[in-house]
Amino acid sequence: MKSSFNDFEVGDTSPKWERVTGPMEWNRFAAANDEFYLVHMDDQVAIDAENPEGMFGMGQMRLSYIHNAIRDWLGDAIEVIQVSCRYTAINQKNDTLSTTLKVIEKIINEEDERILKLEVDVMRQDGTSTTPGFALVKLLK
Amino acid sequence: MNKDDIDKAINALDKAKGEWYRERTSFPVDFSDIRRWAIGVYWPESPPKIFVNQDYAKKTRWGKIIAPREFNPFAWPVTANESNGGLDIGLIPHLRSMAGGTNDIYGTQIYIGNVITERSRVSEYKLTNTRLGQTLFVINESEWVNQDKELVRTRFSTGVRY
Repeated sequence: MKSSFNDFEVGDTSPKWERVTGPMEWNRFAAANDEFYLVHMDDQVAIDAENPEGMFGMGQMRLSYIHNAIRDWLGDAIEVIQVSCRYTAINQKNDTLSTTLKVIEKIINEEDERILKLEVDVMRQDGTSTTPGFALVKLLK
Repeated sequence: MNKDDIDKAINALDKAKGEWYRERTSFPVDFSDIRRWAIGVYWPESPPKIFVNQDYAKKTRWGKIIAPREFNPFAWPVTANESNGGLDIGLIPHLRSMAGGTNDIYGTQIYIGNVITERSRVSEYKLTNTRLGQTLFVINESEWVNQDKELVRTRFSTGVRY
């Protein structure tokens, strides 16, 4: 596992982090996060809320998937210092969601800290972008 | 969203904007809280050892179990209505809502035993036309500090109201 600032170049990409998502994954996340909104639990409620495919996944769970992808790529010694993302499409039942991270900038700040800026997103199996954004991750020197 | 709804929403947001007006304090973070979160977000794979294996965690730079960065220490309050993290939902309850985005800026880690205090406010809002019709984008700011007053996280969450 690469973990030093000098190991990375702009343009480097992570391995793909992937999960098939549906009620099993959403219910476990709901239980951890105490997030029991009926649009994530009941097909008819979600249809009534204008999602014809029924209940759908939580945006916050995709934020967790971004964090998972960062940790699995860069290890336990890193510090994620910022993640910013937008929820631009819905995670439908049985979607395969995947995250691939890309180094878009290497930063040495005024405190002499080594930081990678990553492009982040969570994609559906058809290539739809659902969670575009960026992350800042501090590495060991 | 009709004109009356818009007027009510704008009025409520104008009154609330910039004022810290909700504060809550978590129960002490338990190892089980972290373990369950990590299992939930990694399901069906096993979670990383840093979240669930104390012997392993001792050997890391952190020296002990840490919580996932996005962990929520406010889950499962005794009073159910304290679990609602969407501040603007309480302000303008008659509009539909969905999550628009999250911007998290992280400080110190969360460890077992930490007690987190949150305060929240409406940071900004804008009204615009989208495919949903007139739509409000409300940015809530919530700030977390631990029992030593160290900053843990500042979150700017965008709520889409229509």
